[in-house]
Amino acid sequence: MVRYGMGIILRAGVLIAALFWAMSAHAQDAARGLGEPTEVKACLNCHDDPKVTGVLHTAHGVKGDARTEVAGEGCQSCHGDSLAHMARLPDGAMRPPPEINFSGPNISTPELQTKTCLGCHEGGARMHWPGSQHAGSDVTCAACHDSHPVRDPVLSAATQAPVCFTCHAEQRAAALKPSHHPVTEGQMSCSDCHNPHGSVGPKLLVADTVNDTCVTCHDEKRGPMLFDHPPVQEDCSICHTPHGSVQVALLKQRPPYLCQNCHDSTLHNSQPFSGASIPGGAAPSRMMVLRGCLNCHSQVHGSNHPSGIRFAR
Amino acid sequence: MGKGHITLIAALVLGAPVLAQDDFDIGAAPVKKPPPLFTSALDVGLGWQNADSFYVSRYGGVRERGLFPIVNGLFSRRDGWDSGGTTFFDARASLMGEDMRALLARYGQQGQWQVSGFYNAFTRAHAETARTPFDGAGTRQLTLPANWVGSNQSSRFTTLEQNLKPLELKTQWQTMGGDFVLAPGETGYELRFRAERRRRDGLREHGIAFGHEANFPVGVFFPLPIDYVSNRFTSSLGYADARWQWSAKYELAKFTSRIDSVIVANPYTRSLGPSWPAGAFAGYPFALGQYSLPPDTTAHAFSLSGGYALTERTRVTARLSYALNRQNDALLPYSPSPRLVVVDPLPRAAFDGDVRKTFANVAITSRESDAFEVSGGYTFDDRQNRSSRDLYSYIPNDAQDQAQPFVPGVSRYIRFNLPRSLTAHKFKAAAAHRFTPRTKLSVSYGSDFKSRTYEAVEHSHEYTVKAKLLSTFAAGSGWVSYSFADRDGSEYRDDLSWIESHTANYNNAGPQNASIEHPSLRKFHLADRTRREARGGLTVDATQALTFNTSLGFARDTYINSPLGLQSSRSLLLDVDATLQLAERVTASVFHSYESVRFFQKGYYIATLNLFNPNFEWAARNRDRADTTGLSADFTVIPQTLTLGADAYLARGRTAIAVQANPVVPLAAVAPLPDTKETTHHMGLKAQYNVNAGLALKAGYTFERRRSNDWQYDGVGLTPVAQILGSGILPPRYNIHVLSLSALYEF
Repeated sequence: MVRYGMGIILRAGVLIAALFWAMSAHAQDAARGLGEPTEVKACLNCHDDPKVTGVLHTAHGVKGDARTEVAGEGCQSCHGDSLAHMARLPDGAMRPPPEINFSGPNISTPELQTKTCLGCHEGGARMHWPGSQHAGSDVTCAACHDSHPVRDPVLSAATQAPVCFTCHAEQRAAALKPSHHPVTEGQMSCSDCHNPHGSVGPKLLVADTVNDTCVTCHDEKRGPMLFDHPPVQEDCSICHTPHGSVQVALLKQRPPYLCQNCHDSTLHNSQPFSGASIPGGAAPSRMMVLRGCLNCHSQVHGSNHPSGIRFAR
Repeated sequence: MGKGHITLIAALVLGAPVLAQDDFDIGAAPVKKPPPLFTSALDVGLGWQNADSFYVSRYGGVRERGLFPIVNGLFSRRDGWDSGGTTFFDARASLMGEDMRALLARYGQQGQWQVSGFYNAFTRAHAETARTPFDGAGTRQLTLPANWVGSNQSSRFTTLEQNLKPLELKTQWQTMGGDFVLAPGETGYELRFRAERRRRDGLREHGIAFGHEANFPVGVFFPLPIDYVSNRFTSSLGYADARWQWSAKYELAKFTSRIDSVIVANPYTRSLGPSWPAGAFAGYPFALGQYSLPPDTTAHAFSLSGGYALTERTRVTARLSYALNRQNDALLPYSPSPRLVVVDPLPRAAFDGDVRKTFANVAITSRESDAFEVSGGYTFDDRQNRSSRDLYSYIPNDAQDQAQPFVPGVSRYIRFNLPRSLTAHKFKAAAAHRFTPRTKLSVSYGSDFKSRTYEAVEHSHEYTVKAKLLSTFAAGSGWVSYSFADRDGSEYRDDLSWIESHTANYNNAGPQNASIEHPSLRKFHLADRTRREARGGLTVDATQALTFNTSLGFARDTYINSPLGLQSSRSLLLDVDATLQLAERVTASVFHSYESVRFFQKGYYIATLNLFNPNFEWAARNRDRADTTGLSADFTVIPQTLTLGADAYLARGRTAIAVQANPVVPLAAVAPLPDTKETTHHMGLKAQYNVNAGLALKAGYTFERRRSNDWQYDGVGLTPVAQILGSGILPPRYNIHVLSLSALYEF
C-alpha cells in the first residue's frame, strides 16, 4: 500500500510556512491600509462590509495587473458609471441603484450582466458560452459566482455542489442515493465532468463525448480491448446513470434484468428470474445472487484475454 | 488618505465631467470602523467516532472507532490591491482521519505567471465483511490452502470455514500534480502546462468463472489486486481578445496496470451436471484460471478550438480534435492450466489496438435584435477502430482442451474479435423569441445520424424537437419545456455480430450454428424509440422571508418495434424547496425530492427449439423509487458571538420488481421478489463561539444511520447456491456518532 502521503504533506507544510513568512509583512501592510477608516467616501465608504471589500483581496482587485479593470476604474468597471447612484440627494429622496446590478430587486437583464463579465472573461473555458444551455436559460455569471468574497464558493470542490444544487435539485437528490459519485463528500465537483460555461459536448460535458469524460478518471476502461462490449464503446450512459442510483455501481437496473434487456439467448440467460430464483426459492440461481450475471461475466467493460470473448477472463 | 482611494475618487471625477465634486455623496458619511476582514484561517481539533465504520466513510476519512485529527488550513496572501504588486499565494490543506488528506498551493505574479501543486488522497471503501479462502490476496497468484477439499458444490467445501481470511476491500486514490501558467500581461496569450499522476492501489472483489460453458459453469469470487497508475500531461496555448479567441491543446494520457493478470486456483472438482470435457484436469487440484487486468494504454489528443465575433451579437465557434488510443500489451496464454491441451498458438503476440477519433464542431449564435436569437451547429464524431482482427481459438473458463475441429474453422470456440467503429453526424438549429426582455420562447430541432460496424443496427437516425418557455417576473421566475424525439434504424440484424465473429465454415455448416440470440430481441440502445419529456420549474419569492422553489419532470421512452427486450421506461420527478427567514436571526430551508423510475421489459424463455410460443414469453416490471427529505437551520444566538446550526436528511431508495410468466412452463414458475430498501438518516449539529474577532471555538455532532435490505446479499453467505463461492459481503448497516471540537483561528 502507498505510504508516502504524510511525508508530502509535511514537506509541503514547511514550504507553505516559509512562503507565508516571506510574504506576510507586505500583505499585512496592504491589509492595514484597507482596514483603517479614511477620509475616502467613495463606494467603500458605504459598502464597507467584508463581504463586499473582500473583492480587493481577489484576482479582481489587483491594480498591478493591467487586465483588471476594477483597479483602474474602480467598482464602476463592473457596476457601470452609476453617477446617479452616487450623486448627493435631497433629504428623504430614495437613492437610485447602480447602473448594473447582479442581484436584488434592481437586477440587470441577463444579457447586460453577462456582457459585463465576458468583457474580460471571453476566452478559455468560456469560449462556448453563447448558445450554451445555461446562456439559453438566461443564467447569469452572478447566479453561480460571488466575486466579492475572498473565496468564491463555486470555485472550490468542497463548496461547489451546493451552488449547483440550488437549481439542480434533481441532482442533489441523486447525490444522496446509495450509489453516487463522491460529490457530497467533496472528493469531486460537478465541474470535474461539466463545464457550466458551455462546451461542444452533450450536457455541458468537459470533453467532447460522454465516454471521453468518463475515462478521464476511469481510464482503465478506455481500451481498446481485444474483446469489446459494444455499448461500452458507444456510451457509458447506456447502462449507467451518473448522478446517482438506487442500484449498485450507478447502474440503471440491477443484473440480471439490465443484461436481459439485450441478451436473451439459448444458453442460460433467457429464464424469467424471480423470487423463485433466490436462496430459499424453488430454484435458486447463480444469476440472481450477489452480482447477478457479473458473478461470471465480470469483465463487462471488455477483456484483453484471448479467451475473454464472453467477458469471464 | 490611501493611494487607492485617491484613485477611486479620481476615477469618479474623471468619469463625471458634467458634475462637480460637491454633487457627489462622497465624504459626507460619518467615519466608522469596518468589521475586520480575514483572508486566512486555521482550524485544528479532534474528533471522536463511536464505532468502526466502513461504509459511512466510503470515500475517505475515518473508518475506526476512537479519536482522529481534524486539520483544515486556508492561507491567502496578495500584494495590496493598490500597491502595484501582483504577487499572490494561496494554499489549502486538510487532514481528516487516516486516509483523507489534501493540499493545494498556488504562487505567482497575477497577469504574468503562476505555478501550482496539488496532492489529494482518499480511500474508496468497498466492503469490510468480505472473506476469502485464497492465500496471496494482493498478489498475482491466488492459491488454495493445503487442506482444501474440493467438490462439485460449494456447500461441500468442508474446509472452507476454517480457511476463511477477512478482507478489507478498499482502494486508495492518490493524485498529485502541478500546473504552470504563463500569461504575459495584456498580450492575450496564455501558455499552460499541467502534469498529473494518479495511483489507485488496493483490493476489489471480482468473480471468475470456471467450467465448460454448456455444463453449469461456476462463479468464484476472489480479491482482485488493483495497482493502477495514470499519468496525464497537458499543454495548451490560448489567445483571447474582444473579437476572437483560440486555443491549441495537446494531451497525453498513459494508463498502466502494474499487475497484468491474476492466476486463481479452481476450488471446484467438476461441474454440478455432466463432468467437464477435460475431466479431472479442468478442476481442483489441477486447474488454474487466469484473469486479465486492464491493458496498459496510451492516448494522444490534439485539439484546436476557436471563437470569433462576427459582430457584437453574432459569434461563430469551431473545434477540431484528433485522438489516437493505442495499446499493445503482450497477450496472455489461452489458459495457464498445464494439463489442458493447447495446440493452436495465439495469432499474434500482442493485440496492436489502435483507435483513432476525430471530432469536429462548428456553431453559430446570433442575436442581432433584442427580440430574436438563432443558433445552429454541426458535429462530426468519428471513432475508427483500426485494431487487429484475428481468429482466436479460445478456451472457455479454463475448463476444456482447445477445440480441434475436424473441418478447419468449424468450431464455436474459434472466433474473430470485432473491432467496432462508430460515426455520428449531428445537426442542431434553434431559435428564440423574446416577447419581453424577460420572457423568452425557444424552439430547437436536432438530428443525429449514427453508423456502426459489426452491430445489429448499421445506421440509425434520431431527430429531436424541443420547445421551452422561460420567464422572469418581479417575484420570481418560471419555465416549462417539452421535447419529443424519434429514433429509427436500418434493418435489425440480430445475427450480424454472430456471423462476423465466426468463421464462414462454421456459419455454413448447418442451421444448428445460427445465432443464439432470440431473433425478436431488440437491444434497447439500438432499437427504434420515441422519447417524450416534459419539465417545468417555478421560483417564487413569496414574501421577503420566504422563497419557494419547485420543479416537476416527466419522461417516457417507448421502444416501438421491440417484440422482446426493453419495452418502455418512464420517470417522474418532483422537487420542492423552501427557504425561510423565520426570525431576524433564524433562517431555515427545507426540501423534498421524489423520483420514480420504471422499466418494463419482455423476455422469452428459450427452453425448446420453438422460439415463437407465446407461453414462453415473460415480462418484468422494475420500479425504483427515491424519496429524499432534508432541512437545515441557522440560528444566531448572540450576534457576532454565538451561532448554532443544524442539518438533517432522510434518503430512502426502494426497488420493486414484479415478474410475470406462464406457470405451465417448467422452470419458468415465478414467485414474488421482496423489495430492496435502503434508508439513510443523517443529522448534524454545529456551534461556533467567537472568543474574539479572530478566534473561535467550534463543536459538532453528526449521527448517521443506514439500513439496507437486498435479496442479492441478505443471508446469502459464501455458498448461496452450489455453483457460487461468494465473498460474504453484507449490505451496509450502521449507526455512527461523531463528535468534533476544534479551534478556528482567522488572520
